[in-house]
Amino acid sequence: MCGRTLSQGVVIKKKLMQLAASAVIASTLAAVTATSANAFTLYEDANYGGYGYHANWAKKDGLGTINNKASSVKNSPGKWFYDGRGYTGRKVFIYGNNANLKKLKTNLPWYQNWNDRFESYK
Amino acid sequence: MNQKKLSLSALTLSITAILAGCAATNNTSIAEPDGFVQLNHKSGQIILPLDRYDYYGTLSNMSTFDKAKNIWLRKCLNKAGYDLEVTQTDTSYSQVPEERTYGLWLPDRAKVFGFDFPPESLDKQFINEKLDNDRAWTKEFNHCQNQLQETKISFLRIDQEYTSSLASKLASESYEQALSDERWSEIRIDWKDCLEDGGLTPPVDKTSFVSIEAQELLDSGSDLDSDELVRIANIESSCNVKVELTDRLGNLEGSIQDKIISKNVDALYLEKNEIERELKLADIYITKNL
Repeated sequence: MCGRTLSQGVVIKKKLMQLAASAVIASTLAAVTATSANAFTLYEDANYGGYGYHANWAKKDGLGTINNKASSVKNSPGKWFYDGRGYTGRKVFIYGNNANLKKLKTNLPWYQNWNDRFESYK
Repeated sequence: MNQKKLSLSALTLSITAILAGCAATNNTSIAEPDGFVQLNHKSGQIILPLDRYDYYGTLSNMSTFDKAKNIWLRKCLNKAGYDLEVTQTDTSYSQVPEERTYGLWLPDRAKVFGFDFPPESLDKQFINEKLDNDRAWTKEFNHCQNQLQETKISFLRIDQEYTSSLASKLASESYEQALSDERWSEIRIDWKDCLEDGGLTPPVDKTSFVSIEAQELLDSGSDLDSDELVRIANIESSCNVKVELTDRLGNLEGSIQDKIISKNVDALYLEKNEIERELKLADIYITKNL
């Protein structure tokens, strides 16, 4: 072992790095899976299509990349969604699924709907 | 000549009529309604007249239905060997999030929590902690939530039924009328002036009640109770109190709701009776299963 050549050392180092990389990927995947289990989903398109944003159930504010873009909701555990940041403005309670937020007009004037309108939830 | 006189008289009459009309409009614009909104400073609820006909309109309704739902979920989780804590019904402020329909309006809270809320009720804390840390529990909870949605429970409404109520439709109509009422904008001007005096930039959109500075911080992912957001929340809520924004806008919207209620009173009472029937069923369920 003491007489290991430089190239052997490089190979071992590479393998170690690969192992480390695999561990990082595995832990990242585990984290992603955990997030998915612990979340309901907001979709960019109606009928649960397009980009899906996994909203944490316990999370209180902020919709990240889907701010003002959600068009359908799946598995909401009973949440208030607001049209203003910081839970301000009009709100609507969604429990379960809503396939098309364009049809949802609760607490909004007739010419408006909840499509692309969520800015915070609780 | 006579024709000229006639024209002049007509013109004079028109101008008088226009001026009288303006005066009448101005009088209307000055008068602000009162007594149509109830503000509960402890719970943070803003009660408008139509809320009395709404499934989730009052704190008491919300607590009862929430509690019944959690008991159902607890029983489902118990079958799989898991637990869910269900606290006694109480109407403390932490039971439901405070309402911020017209922006932050409770400076005592804003000074401590900024844009965040006070700690939630014990059952909600328990659920959130489990969802964050217990994967097996979460999986079973998801399963139970799905079952609950698929099961037709006599007192539990899913979103479609809740959102298609007459009270909800009339609330939308009232809000629309309130928005187009010139007093809405006039009242907001007082609040916007106060924000500017406090060094903040008021929002332009007449449906927005958060300063531009706060919006930018919230968008950037800043903690809701960071020092800066607490400072801003304090200014916003203090201005809200100073110009009585929530009170005045609530009264304006509430007065419109009141008129709309009187035109739909029979149909609304039918809905209210149905909600009361569901509340009784929920209470019986709670008593039997707690």
